[in-house]
Amino acid sequence: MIFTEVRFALLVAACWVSFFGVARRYRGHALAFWSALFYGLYAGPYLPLVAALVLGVHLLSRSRFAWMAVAGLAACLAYFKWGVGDFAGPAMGTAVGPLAAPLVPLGLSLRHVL
Amino acid sequence: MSFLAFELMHFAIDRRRGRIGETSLVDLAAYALFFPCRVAGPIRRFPDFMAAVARAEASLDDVYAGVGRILIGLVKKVVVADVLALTVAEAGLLVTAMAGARTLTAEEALLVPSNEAGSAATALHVWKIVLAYSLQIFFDFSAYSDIAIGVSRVLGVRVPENFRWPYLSPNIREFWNRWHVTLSAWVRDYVFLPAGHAAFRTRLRRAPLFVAAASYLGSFLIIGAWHGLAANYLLWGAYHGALLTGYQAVRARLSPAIVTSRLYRSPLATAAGTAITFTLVSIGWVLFMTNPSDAWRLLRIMFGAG
Repeated sequence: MIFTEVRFALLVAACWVSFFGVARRYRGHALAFWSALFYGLYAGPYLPLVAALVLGVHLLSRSRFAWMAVAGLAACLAYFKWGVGDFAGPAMGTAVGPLAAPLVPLGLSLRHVL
Repeated sequence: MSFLAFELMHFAIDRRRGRIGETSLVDLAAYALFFPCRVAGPIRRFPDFMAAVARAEASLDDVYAGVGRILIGLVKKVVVADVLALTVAEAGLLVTAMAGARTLTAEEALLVPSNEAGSAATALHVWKIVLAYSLQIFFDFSAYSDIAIGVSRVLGVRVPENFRWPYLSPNIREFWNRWHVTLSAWVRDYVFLPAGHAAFRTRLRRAPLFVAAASYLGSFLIIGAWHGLAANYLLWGAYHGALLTGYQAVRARLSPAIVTSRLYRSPLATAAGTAITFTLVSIGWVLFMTNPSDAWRLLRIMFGAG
């Protein structure tokens, strides 16, 4: 489980120090930095995709092409959720093992966790 | 991906509608990537999140409260949910035995009443598994939410609650106001209400129950599909759409005299409503937990037809 890992605790501690250590107007920078690092640690291959999604939504949502941002997100959701799979699953660890034949929707989007 | 996609959709839609003003890319990145909530939600709203970040203060009280919430989440996950999961695992063996897919090992056979086509699988046994599953889902998912809320709180950032004692809901509508609150609210704001309003601008306004039914069904098919594009999730979504439509239909037909009566508002009626709602929700989990044919087998046993 991610939340019980030492490196996650260190990440939280480092984030806390920098979040409250910088001027209030730079808090967003601190959160964005440590969150990007989190993605890099736990789902590195998907960081460029996530960054592209954030950038795309930021650019398109101001314009009349906002629907393209929504459509793009829906397409990504369909592809990764219903196609390739959920990247958070493997990072979450296993609790029960092969006996748990029924689908266990823990975290709902994390249906591969158990 | 699901949580991220829904949060970014909210941002794109609300910004286009003018509900979100000028925003820097860094603030959007901080909102979208915010790591405590990336594993299991809750689904946040951008204005609330930025306000929470701006309000955050370095406080030992927040650290204590956050750590306490994390510990509660860990206990719920490790001590309760994972123990219940052992009972739930019996369901897999039960349907394996019933389907005759393979012979159970001696170790597995100890966990189920019989490995002969489920003949000895009593209704009581299956109800026990379903009850365990209902509780496991709640404790497990709410545990992850507790941890996410707790980690956020350590950072001084308040994020929305996701579960408010859903199994104590006296009716199915209230259940959905308390279960996975942030997903329900998202679907309500971006699917249910827009679809309903659009329908009411057409001739369909003469059939409000039909509009409600179609909106509920559409919304809950989306909620079902959000869990995965499989028949069991869609069936589960349709089931809850039907339950809400049924509740709405019955509620609309009750006379004001009944609704305001002392009996209707009594603790006894509330307790009965809570028991019925929990039972209906638990039956729904059977549809959710496994494929439709195995779910049908389990339901038949539960209701004495197996």
